[in-house]
Amino acid sequence: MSSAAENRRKSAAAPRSAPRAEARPQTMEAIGHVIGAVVHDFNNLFGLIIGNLELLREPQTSQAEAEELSLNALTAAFRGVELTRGLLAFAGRQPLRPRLVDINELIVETTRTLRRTLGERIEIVHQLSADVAPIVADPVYLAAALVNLADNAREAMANGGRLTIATANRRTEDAAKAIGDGIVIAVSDTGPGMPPEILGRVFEPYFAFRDRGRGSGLALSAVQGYVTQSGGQITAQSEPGAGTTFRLYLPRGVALDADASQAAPRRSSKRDA
Amino acid sequence: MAVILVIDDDEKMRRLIVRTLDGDQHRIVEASNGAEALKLLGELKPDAVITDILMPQKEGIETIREIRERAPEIKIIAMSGGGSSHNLMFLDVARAFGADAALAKPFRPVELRETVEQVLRSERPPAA
Repeated sequence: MSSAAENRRKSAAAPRSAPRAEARPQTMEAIGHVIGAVVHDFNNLFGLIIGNLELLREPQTSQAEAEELSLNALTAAFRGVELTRGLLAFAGRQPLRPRLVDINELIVETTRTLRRTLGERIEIVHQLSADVAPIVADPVYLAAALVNLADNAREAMANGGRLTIATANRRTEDAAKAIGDGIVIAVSDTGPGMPPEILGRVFEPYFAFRDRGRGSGLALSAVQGYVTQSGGQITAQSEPGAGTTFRLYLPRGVALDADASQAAPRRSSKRDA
Repeated sequence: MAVILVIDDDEKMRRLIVRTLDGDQHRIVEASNGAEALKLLGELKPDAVITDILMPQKEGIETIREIRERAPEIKIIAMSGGGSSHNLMFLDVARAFGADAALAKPFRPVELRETVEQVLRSERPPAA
């Protein structure tokens, strides 16, 4: 082997192997953390399913009790389904069905749901750009991502506040250069904000698990997984006392099919409190 | 009849435990976290506490430690869906902090009933 080839071989092998060896325990620790949290969630759900079904089988159970017990077991089973969907989203392996989407229209439709779930103490404001371009995305999962971000904002604003959803076109010179021309959806809250040490870990699965209770451990991780799988990026900006803004950068859509003519943007900026 | 305080942040799980123990002539009171449970402790004077471990606001291990300090005679059953802290399993930690019994979720209603009756019959060592 020539000395040049030998040098290339050494330079290719040596620097890569050392960081991998160091990174592995951290990766394994992170995976172990997620697995432990997921097992915990599933064991709780199995506990509800097994417990309710066993009580259902007891001879003294009345018809009314049986209906409630079976509903409880079913509800727990569906929470398990949600959990598996969250895991797939986190892993970026959801079975997406992308199509051309008018993002402003989707936000307006999703806000109808949000108004029920967020309650009266949270004002919802739209700042939707009238000329925002259509995008190619799975509208069901994109709506779910917006709901997850809104739920996160609701938890941050326990005493009420304002949730602002904004859209705009974005050129390549803007923040997320890697995805080219596209749009940005900004979801902002007026909550207490986060210090840098929390902000830096906000997309880690189950990072806030112990403080925020069951079922919320995968929400932001799932949103990040969905956005990444859709060819986009997500960022979080926050400061203590200044609220939090999540920005979803998604690539501009191209006319794939007949949906294109139906997806023209048609909303203008609107306050939707 | 015994007074039993059930602590779990999952309302569905609390309701399941209440229903499981309902036919055993006990008075069951619910709390959604450790802080709420500790407020009830003095007035309620429960014979036994059944507590989850991972909860918001005040989690189970800390709750067990405070109950042991304030009322060493109360029987404590810890329950958890698993997980660990600093490589120690939560239920082992719960026992180390004074839980009399530990139940790993998922458990069957019959296991809960047997554990409760066993713990209520047991004698706690006198406070040091």
